[in-house]
Amino acid sequence: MSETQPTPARNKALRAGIAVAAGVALLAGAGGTFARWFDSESVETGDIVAGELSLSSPTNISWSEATIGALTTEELAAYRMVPGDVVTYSAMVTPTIVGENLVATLTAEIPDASGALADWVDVEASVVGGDATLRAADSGTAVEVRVVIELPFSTGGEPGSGNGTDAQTDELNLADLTISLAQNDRP
Amino acid sequence: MTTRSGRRLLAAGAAVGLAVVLLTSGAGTLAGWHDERSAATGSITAGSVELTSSDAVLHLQSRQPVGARTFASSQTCALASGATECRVVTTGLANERLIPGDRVQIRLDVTLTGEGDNLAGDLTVDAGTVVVPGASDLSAAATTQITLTPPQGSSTTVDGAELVLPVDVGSGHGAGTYAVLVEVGLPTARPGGARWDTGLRAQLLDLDTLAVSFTQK
Repeated sequence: MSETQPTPARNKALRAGIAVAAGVALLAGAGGTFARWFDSESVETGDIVAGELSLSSPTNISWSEATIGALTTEELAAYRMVPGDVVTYSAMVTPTIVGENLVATLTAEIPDASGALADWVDVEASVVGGDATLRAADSGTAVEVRVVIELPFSTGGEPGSGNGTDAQTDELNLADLTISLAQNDRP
Repeated sequence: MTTRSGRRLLAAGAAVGLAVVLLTSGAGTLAGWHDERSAATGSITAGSVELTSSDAVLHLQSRQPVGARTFASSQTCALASGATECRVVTTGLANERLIPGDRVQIRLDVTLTGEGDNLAGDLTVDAGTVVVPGASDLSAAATTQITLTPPQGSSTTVDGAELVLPVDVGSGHGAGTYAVLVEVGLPTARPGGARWDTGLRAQLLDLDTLAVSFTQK
Protein backbone atom coordinates (compact mmCIF):
# COMPACT_ATOMS: atom_id res chain seq x y z
CA MET A 1 0.00 0.00 0.00
CA SER A 2 1.51 3.28 -1.07
CA GLU A 3 1.39 6.43 1.23
CA THR A 4 -0.61 9.35 0.05
CA GLN A 5 1.58 12.36 -0.74
CA PRO A 6 0.24 15.83 0.06
CA THR A 7 -0.29 18.14 -2.79
CA PRO A 8 1.59 21.53 -2.78
CA ALA A 9 -1.62 23.39 -1.85
CA ARG A 10 -2.33 21.22 1.13
CA ASN A 11 1.33 21.60 2.18
CA LYS A 12 0.98 25.39 2.46
CA ALA A 13 -2.16 25.13 4.62
CA LEU A 14 -0.53 22.63 6.90
CA ARG A 15 2.50 24.87 7.48
CA ALA A 16 0.31 27.85 8.34
CA GLY A 17 -1.57 25.77 10.85
CA ILE A 18 1.65 24.67 12.48
CA ALA A 19 2.92 28.26 12.63
CA VAL A 20 -0.22 29.52 14.43
CA ALA A 21 -0.08 26.68 16.83
CA ALA A 22 3.55 27.39 17.57
CA GLY A 23 2.79 31.04 18.15
CA VAL A 24 0.07 30.28 20.62
CA ALA A 25 2.32 27.81 22.30
CA LEU A 26 5.07 30.40 22.63
CA LEU A 27 2.74 32.99 24.03
CA ALA A 28 1.07 30.63 26.41
CA GLY A 29 3.97 28.63 27.59
CA ALA A 30 6.80 31.14 27.94
CA GLY A 31 5.79 32.43 31.51
CA GLY A 32 4.93 36.10 30.55
CA THR A 33 1.51 37.87 31.00
CA PHE A 34 -0.24 40.87 29.56
CA ALA A 35 -0.60 42.69 33.04
CA ARG A 36 1.72 45.44 34.26
CA TRP A 37 3.91 45.00 37.26
CA PHE A 38 2.18 45.13 40.63
CA ASP A 39 3.16 45.00 44.28
CA SER A 40 1.35 45.86 47.55
CA GLU A 41 2.14 46.30 51.22
CA SER A 42 -0.25 46.67 54.18
CA VAL A 43 0.31 49.66 56.54
CA GLU A 44 -1.38 49.96 59.89
CA THR A 45 -3.39 53.21 60.42
CA GLY A 46 -5.61 53.63 63.47
CA ASP A 47 -9.13 53.95 64.86
CA ILE A 48 -11.34 57.03 65.00
CA VAL A 49 -14.11 57.28 67.50
CA ALA A 50 -17.00 59.68 67.01
CA GLY A 51 -17.79 62.18 69.73
CA GLU A 52 -21.00 62.45 71.67
CA LEU A 53 -23.72 65.01 72.18
CA SER A 54 -26.50 64.19 74.57
CA LEU A 55 -28.64 65.70 77.27
CA SER A 56 -29.76 64.16 80.51
CA SER A 57 -33.37 64.04 81.55
CA PRO A 58 -34.32 66.99 83.76
CA THR A 59 -33.58 66.54 87.44
CA ASN A 60 -34.06 68.59 90.62
CA ILE A 61 -37.41 69.87 89.39
CA SER A 62 -38.80 72.48 91.72
CA TRP A 63 -41.42 75.22 91.96
CA SER A 64 -41.28 78.50 93.79
CA GLU A 65 -43.09 81.79 94.08
CA ALA A 66 -41.21 85.03 94.50
CA THR A 67 -42.84 85.99 97.79
CA ILE A 68 -43.71 82.61 99.23
CA GLY A 69 -40.54 80.71 98.35
CA ALA A 70 -40.41 77.01 97.51
CA LEU A 71 -43.65 75.18 96.74
CA THR A 72 -44.05 71.43 96.93
CA THR A 73 -46.26 69.70 94.40
CA GLU A 74 -49.05 69.60 96.95
CA GLU A 75 -48.55 73.24 97.82
CA LEU A 76 -48.60 74.19 94.15
CA ALA A 77 -51.93 72.41 93.74
CA ALA A 78 -53.35 74.39 96.65
CA TYR A 79 -51.65 77.64 95.66
CA ARG A 80 -53.86 80.39 94.25
CA MET A 81 -52.19 82.94 92.01
CA VAL A 82 -53.03 86.61 92.31
CA PRO A 83 -51.95 89.64 90.25
CA GLY A 84 -48.32 90.43 90.88
CA ASP A 85 -47.33 86.83 91.56
CA VAL A 86 -44.33 85.34 89.80
CA VAL A 87 -44.06 81.54 89.80
CA THR A 88 -40.88 79.80 88.68
CA TYR A 89 -40.46 76.22 87.51
CA SER A 90 -36.84 75.11 87.67
CA ALA A 91 -35.02 72.00 86.44
CA MET A 92 -31.42 70.95 85.94
CA VAL A 93 -30.14 69.25 82.80
CA THR A 94 -26.65 67.92 82.25
CA PRO A 95 -25.07 67.95 78.79
CA THR A 96 -22.57 65.38 77.57
CA ILE A 97 -20.30 66.93 74.97
CA VAL A 98 -17.40 64.91 73.59
CA GLY A 99 -15.54 66.19 70.55
CA GLU A 100 -12.76 68.71 70.13
CA ASN A 101 -14.72 70.68 67.58
CA LEU A 102 -18.14 70.14 69.07
CA VAL A 103 -19.94 73.34 70.01
CA ALA A 104 -23.61 73.22 70.84
CA THR A 105 -26.35 75.52 72.06
CA LEU A 106 -28.75 74.68 74.86
CA THR A 107 -32.22 76.18 74.53
CA ALA A 108 -35.48 75.85 76.39
CA GLU A 109 -38.88 76.36 74.83
CA ILE A 110 -42.43 75.93 75.99
CA PRO A 111 -45.48 76.00 73.73
CA ASP A 112 -48.46 78.17 74.55
CA ALA A 113 -50.30 77.15 77.67
CA SER A 114 -53.98 76.33 77.71
CA GLY A 115 -56.72 77.29 80.13
CA ALA A 116 -58.49 80.59 80.64
CA LEU A 117 -55.69 81.96 82.81
CA ALA A 118 -53.34 81.63 79.82
CA ASP A 119 -54.91 84.80 78.40
CA TRP A 120 -53.62 86.80 81.34
CA VAL A 121 -50.23 85.42 82.27
CA ASP A 122 -46.80 85.81 80.72
CA VAL A 123 -44.98 82.49 80.35
CA GLU A 124 -41.33 82.39 79.37
CA ALA A 125 -38.91 79.47 79.20
CA SER A 126 -35.20 80.13 79.36
CA VAL A 127 -31.78 78.76 80.10
CA VAL A 128 -30.42 80.54 83.14
CA GLY A 129 -27.83 82.98 81.88
CA GLY A 130 -29.31 83.04 78.39
CA ASP A 131 -29.12 80.39 75.67
CA ALA A 132 -25.91 78.60 76.56
CA THR A 133 -23.12 77.91 74.09
CA LEU A 134 -21.50 74.77 75.43
CA ARG A 135 -18.27 72.96 74.62
CA ALA A 136 -16.51 69.84 75.77
CA ALA A 137 -15.30 71.71 78.85
CA ASP A 138 -18.92 72.15 79.89
CA SER A 139 -19.69 68.47 79.61
CA GLY A 140 -21.07 67.05 82.82
CA THR A 141 -21.89 70.43 84.35
CA ALA A 142 -25.57 70.81 85.13
CA VAL A 143 -27.37 73.82 83.68
CA GLU A 144 -30.58 75.30 85.07
CA VAL A 145 -33.60 75.84 82.86
CA ARG A 146 -36.61 77.80 84.01
CA VAL A 147 -40.16 78.60 83.16
CA VAL A 148 -41.32 81.89 84.67
CA ILE A 149 -45.05 82.50 84.92
CA GLU A 150 -46.18 86.00 85.84
CA LEU A 151 -49.65 87.32 86.37
CA PRO A 152 -49.13 91.05 85.82
CA PHE A 153 -50.34 93.30 88.58
CA SER A 154 -51.97 95.53 86.00
CA THR A 155 -52.91 94.89 82.44
CA GLY A 156 -53.20 98.54 81.65
CA GLY A 157 -56.89 99.09 82.05
CA GLU A 158 -58.53 102.15 83.48
CA PRO A 159 -56.18 104.02 85.81
CA GLY A 160 -56.73 102.78 89.32
CA SER A 161 -59.08 100.06 88.21
CA GLY A 162 -56.45 97.34 88.31
CA ASN A 163 -57.64 94.08 86.85
CA GLY A 164 -61.09 94.24 88.35
CA THR A 165 -62.14 90.66 88.81
CA ASP A 166 -60.53 89.42 85.60
CA ALA A 167 -58.94 85.97 85.61
CA GLN A 168 -60.22 85.03 89.04
CA THR A 169 -60.36 81.25 89.64
CA ASP A 170 -59.11 80.68 86.07
CA GLU A 171 -56.73 77.78 85.51
CA LEU A 172 -53.45 77.66 83.63
CA ASN A 173 -52.32 74.36 82.13
CA LEU A 174 -48.70 74.61 81.13
CA ALA A 175 -47.39 72.63 78.18
CA ASP A 176 -44.37 70.38 78.44
CA LEU A 177 -41.03 72.14 78.51
CA THR A 178 -38.66 71.19 75.68
CA ILE A 179 -34.94 71.45 76.31
CA SER A 180 -32.74 71.10 73.23
CA LEU A 181 -29.02 70.71 72.80
CA ALA A 182 -28.13 71.25 69.15
CA GLN A 183 -24.72 71.31 67.51
CA ASN A 184 -23.83 74.70 66.13
CA ASP A 185 -23.26 75.12 62.42
CA ARG A 186 -19.66 74.66 61.35
CA PRO A 187 -18.07 77.82 59.97
CA MET B 1 -23.10 53.54 18.09
CA THR B 2 -21.49 54.48 21.49
CA THR B 3 -18.26 56.43 21.17
CA ARG B 4 -15.39 56.25 23.68
CA SER B 5 -16.16 59.69 25.11
CA GLY B 6 -19.80 58.70 25.33
CA ARG B 7 -18.88 55.69 27.38
CA ARG B 8 -16.77 57.89 29.74
CA LEU B 9 -19.71 60.20 30.39
CA LEU B 10 -21.91 57.23 31.03
CA ALA B 11 -19.42 55.81 33.53
CA ALA B 12 -19.06 59.15 35.34
CA GLY B 13 -22.79 59.49 35.54
CA ALA B 14 -23.10 56.06 37.01
CA ALA B 15 -20.42 56.88 39.61
CA VAL B 16 -22.19 60.06 40.70
CA GLY B 17 -25.42 58.16 40.88
CA LEU B 18 -23.84 55.59 43.13
CA ALA B 19 -22.38 58.27 45.41
CA VAL B 20 -25.75 59.93 45.79
CA VAL B 21 -27.28 56.60 46.60
CA LEU B 22 -24.58 55.95 49.20
CA LEU B 23 -25.07 59.36 50.83
CA THR B 24 -28.78 59.17 50.98
CA SER B 25 -29.32 55.59 51.88
CA GLY B 26 -26.86 55.35 54.75
CA ALA B 27 -27.61 55.87 58.46
CA GLY B 28 -25.98 59.30 58.58
CA THR B 29 -27.45 62.64 57.64
CA LEU B 30 -25.98 65.98 56.72
CA ALA B 31 -27.39 67.74 59.84
CA GLY B 32 -25.42 68.34 63.02
CA TRP B 33 -26.06 66.45 66.20
CA HIS B 34 -29.04 67.25 68.35
CA ASP B 35 -30.56 65.90 71.53
CA GLU B 36 -33.75 66.93 73.24
CA ARG B 37 -35.57 66.29 76.48
CA SER B 38 -39.12 67.04 77.45
CA ALA B 39 -40.27 67.82 80.95
CA ALA B 40 -43.81 67.87 82.22
CA THR B 41 -44.67 71.08 84.03
CA GLY B 42 -48.01 71.56 85.75
CA SER B 43 -51.08 73.66 86.33
CA ILE B 44 -51.71 76.83 88.29
CA THR B 45 -55.03 78.19 89.45
CA ALA B 46 -55.75 81.84 89.99
CA GLY B 47 -57.13 83.07 93.27
CA SER B 48 -60.14 85.29 93.73
CA VAL B 49 -61.56 88.07 95.82
CA GLU B 50 -65.12 89.15 96.39
CA LEU B 51 -66.77 91.79 98.48
CA THR B 52 -70.44 91.62 99.28
CA SER B 53 -72.52 93.86 101.49
CA SER B 54 -75.75 93.80 103.33
CA ASP B 55 -78.37 96.47 102.83
CA ALA B 56 -77.62 99.61 104.77
CA VAL B 57 -79.63 100.37 107.90
CA LEU B 58 -80.09 104.01 109.01
CA HIS B 59 -80.48 105.06 112.62
CA LEU B 60 -81.27 108.51 113.88
CA GLN B 61 -79.61 109.16 117.23
CA SER B 62 -81.04 112.10 119.15
CA ARG B 63 -79.43 114.04 121.98
CA GLN B 64 -82.60 115.91 122.83
CA PRO B 65 -84.26 115.17 126.13
CA VAL B 66 -86.60 112.22 125.84
CA GLY B 67 -90.00 113.33 124.70
CA ALA B 68 -88.81 116.77 123.64
CA ARG B 69 -89.22 115.97 119.97
CA THR B 70 -91.23 113.78 117.67
CA PHE B 71 -90.16 111.14 115.20
CA ALA B 72 -91.91 109.87 112.11
CA SER B 73 -90.45 106.44 112.80
CA SER B 74 -91.64 104.46 115.76
CA GLN B 75 -89.06 101.70 115.45
CA THR B 76 -86.50 102.15 118.17
CA CYS B 77 -82.90 101.06 118.10
CA ALA B 78 -79.87 100.77 120.37
CA LEU B 79 -78.65 104.04 121.78
CA ALA B 80 -75.24 105.31 120.80
CA SER B 81 -72.97 106.90 123.37
CA GLY B 82 -74.47 110.25 124.44
CA ALA B 83 -77.79 109.62 122.69
CA THR B 84 -81.14 109.79 124.41
CA GLU B 85 -83.38 108.32 121.74
CA CYS B 86 -82.87 106.24 118.61
CA ARG B 87 -85.13 105.50 115.68
CA VAL B 88 -84.69 103.27 112.68
CA VAL B 89 -85.07 105.52 109.67
CA THR B 90 -83.84 103.28 106.86
CA THR B 91 -86.84 103.88 104.67
CA GLY B 92 -88.08 107.11 106.18
CA LEU B 93 -85.19 109.46 106.76
CA ALA B 94 -86.80 112.02 104.51
CA ASN B 95 -89.80 112.04 106.83
CA GLU B 96 -87.77 113.03 109.88
CA ARG B 97 -86.94 116.55 110.95
CA LEU B 98 -83.37 116.87 112.08
CA ILE B 99 -82.13 118.94 115.00
CA PRO B 100 -78.60 120.17 115.64
CA GLY B 101 -76.76 117.52 117.61
CA ASP B 102 -78.49 114.64 115.80
CA ARG B 103 -76.40 111.89 114.36
CA VAL B 104 -77.46 109.78 111.39
CA GLN B 105 -75.85 106.38 111.46
CA ILE B 106 -75.41 104.31 108.34
CA ARG B 107 -74.75 100.69 109.28
CA LEU B 108 -73.93 97.81 107.02
CA ASP B 109 -71.90 94.63 106.99
CA VAL B 110 -69.45 93.87 104.23
CA THR B 111 -68.06 90.38 103.76
CA LEU B 112 -64.67 89.89 102.19
CA THR B 113 -63.89 86.48 100.76
CA GLY B 114 -60.85 85.52 98.77
CA GLU B 115 -58.26 82.98 97.86
CA GLY B 116 -54.65 83.75 97.15
CA ASP B 117 -51.48 83.05 99.06
CA ASN B 118 -50.29 86.59 98.41
CA LEU B 119 -53.66 88.27 98.40
CA ALA B 120 -53.44 91.46 100.42
CA GLY B 121 -54.89 94.90 99.91
CA ASP B 122 -56.79 97.82 101.31
CA LEU B 123 -60.35 97.69 102.46
CA THR B 124 -61.59 101.22 101.89
CA VAL B 125 -64.73 102.84 103.20
CA ASP B 126 -65.32 105.93 101.12
CA ALA B 127 -67.94 108.24 102.57
CA GLY B 128 -66.78 111.18 100.53
CA THR B 129 -70.02 111.28 98.62
CA VAL B 130 -72.35 110.34 101.45
CA VAL B 131 -72.89 113.98 102.25
CA VAL B 132 -73.11 116.38 99.35
CA PRO B 133 -71.53 119.51 100.80
CA GLY B 134 -72.96 121.92 98.28
CA ALA B 135 -76.53 120.84 98.83
CA SER B 136 -77.14 123.13 101.80
CA ASP B 137 -75.56 124.83 104.77
CA LEU B 138 -76.59 121.80 106.77
CA SER B 139 -74.82 119.45 104.41
CA ALA B 140 -71.79 121.68 104.33
CA ALA B 141 -71.61 121.69 108.12
CA ALA B 142 -72.17 117.95 108.57
CA THR B 143 -69.33 115.91 109.96
CA THR B 144 -68.47 112.35 109.05
CA GLN B 145 -66.96 109.69 111.24
CA ILE B 146 -66.26 106.11 110.11
CA THR B 147 -65.82 103.06 112.31
CA LEU B 148 -64.77 99.72 110.88
CA THR B 149 -64.88 96.58 112.98
CA PRO B 150 -62.99 93.64 111.45
CA PRO B 151 -63.85 89.95 111.90
CA GLN B 152 -61.01 89.68 114.35
CA GLY B 153 -59.42 92.42 116.37
CA SER B 154 -60.50 95.85 117.50
CA SER B 155 -62.38 98.57 115.71
CA THR B 156 -60.79 101.45 113.87
CA THR B 157 -62.39 104.88 113.89
CA VAL B 158 -61.47 107.91 111.84
CA ASP B 159 -62.92 111.40 111.65
CA GLY B 160 -63.25 112.08 107.97
CA ALA B 161 -64.71 110.76 104.80
CA GLU B 162 -62.38 107.82 104.19
CA LEU B 163 -61.08 104.90 106.17
CA VAL B 164 -58.45 102.60 104.74
CA LEU B 165 -57.68 99.35 106.51
CA PRO B 166 -54.90 97.10 105.18
CA VAL B 167 -55.98 93.47 105.17
CA ASP B 168 -54.10 90.31 104.37
CA VAL B 169 -56.42 87.64 103.01
CA GLY B 170 -53.57 85.29 102.24
CA SER B 171 -52.56 85.10 105.87
CA GLY B 172 -56.05 83.95 106.80
CA HIS B 173 -56.82 87.01 108.90
CA GLY B 174 -58.41 89.33 106.39
CA ALA B 175 -61.41 87.39 105.18
CA GLY B 176 -64.70 87.65 106.98
CA THR B 177 -67.45 90.13 107.79
CA TYR B 178 -66.65 93.73 108.65
CA ALA B 179 -69.11 96.00 110.40
CA VAL B 180 -69.17 99.43 108.79
CA LEU B 181 -70.58 102.39 110.68
CA VAL B 182 -70.69 105.83 109.13
CA GLU B 183 -72.00 108.58 111.35
CA VAL B 184 -73.09 111.87 109.91
CA GLY B 185 -73.19 114.45 112.67
CA LEU B 186 -75.11 117.66 112.64
CA PRO B 187 -73.11 120.17 114.66
CA THR B 188 -74.84 122.32 117.21
CA ALA B 189 -73.24 125.42 115.77
CA ARG B 190 -72.29 126.72 112.37
CA PRO B 191 -68.73 126.28 111.23
CA GLY B 192 -66.82 128.97 113.11
CA GLY B 193 -68.99 128.64 116.19
CA ALA B 194 -71.94 130.91 115.35
CA ARG B 195 -75.36 129.73 116.42
CA TRP B 196 -77.61 128.22 113.85
CA ASP B 197 -80.59 130.23 115.01
CA THR B 198 -83.10 129.71 112.24
CA GLY B 199 -80.46 128.87 109.65
CA LEU B 200 -81.25 125.17 109.68
CA ARG B 201 -84.86 125.43 108.95
CA ALA B 202 -85.91 123.69 105.76
CA GLN B 203 -82.31 122.80 105.08
CA LEU B 204 -81.79 119.52 103.33
CA LEU B 205 -79.22 116.93 104.36
CA ASP B 206 -78.45 115.27 101.06
CA LEU B 207 -77.09 111.76 101.53
CA ASP B 208 -75.65 109.96 98.56
CA THR B 209 -73.52 106.91 97.99
CA LEU B 210 -71.36 105.06 100.49
CA ALA B 211 -68.69 102.99 98.76
CA VAL B 212 -66.76 100.09 100.24
CA SER B 213 -64.06 98.47 98.16
CA PHE B 214 -61.15 96.10 98.36
CA THR B 215 -58.14 96.92 96.25
CA GLN B 216 -55.26 94.51 95.97
CA LYS B 217 -51.83 95.96 96.53
